[in-house]
Amino acid sequence: MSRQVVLYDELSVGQTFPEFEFAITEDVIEKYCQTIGETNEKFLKAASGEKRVAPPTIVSLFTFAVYKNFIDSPSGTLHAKQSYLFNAPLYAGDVLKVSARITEKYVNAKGRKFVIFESDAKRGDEVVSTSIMTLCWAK
Amino acid sequence: MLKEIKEGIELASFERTVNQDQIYLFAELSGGDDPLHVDPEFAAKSPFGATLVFGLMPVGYFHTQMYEAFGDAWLKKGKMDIKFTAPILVQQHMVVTAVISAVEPVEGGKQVTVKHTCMVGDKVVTVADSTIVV
Repeated sequence: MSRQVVLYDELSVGQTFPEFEFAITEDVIEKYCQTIGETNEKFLKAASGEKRVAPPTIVSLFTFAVYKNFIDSPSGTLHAKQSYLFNAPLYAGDVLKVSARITEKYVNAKGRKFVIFESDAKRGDEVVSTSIMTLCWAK
Repeated sequence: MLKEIKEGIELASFERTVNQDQIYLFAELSGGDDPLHVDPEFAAKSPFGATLVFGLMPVGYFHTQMYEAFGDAWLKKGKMDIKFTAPILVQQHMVVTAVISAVEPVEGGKQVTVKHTCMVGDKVVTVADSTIVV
């Protein structure tokens, strides 16, 4: 799908992005564990009679989707900083609802443009993780 | 699990190398479509000369260190602040270390801060501070 490239001046603090769903399945956990070389048994298989537990950093899989599902950034945009808060274990079968907003924009002393996106992932009404992503917006 | 929690204690360190198949897999899962990650021919002609590892992949290594040190508490109330300082190329050899940098008393226990470092050769490519209350 072609997304519109949005420039720094076209973004605004308080701007929100539509909610979307991210399903944590056994397959997603298995593949994510392969990408990070996970070695801990806790995450490699489900305990008897229990759901398989996901590494909390599995939320990194939808970190960029919070805006890239809807708009595109100019070529050369860089991921400067990232924060995560993990509030609860995640399990196979969870369907998270993710929504994001722009909380800050600024230009630093070197003239570089930064945009901060904050997003929450909810399981029902429970916020299970929060992401704060700082991007150096290219144009 | 750590037997002792105090400043200066080192967590498990390990080495990792990301291959192109792992990059493709992360791209498939995350929807990442930047040719610098998923098009080896394009990336070969770029200033990097090879495909780039997704910056968020080493973040999973830091999680592994925290879980091995603190167990389920990490899943219930953890925080991680990451800074990306240099690109990582496919097949580059990474060394991932972590050390407890602060232990402070807080209501309900101790707040522990862990400083993670991911290096390629002598270059720091990703750093993070994780915090947890135990």
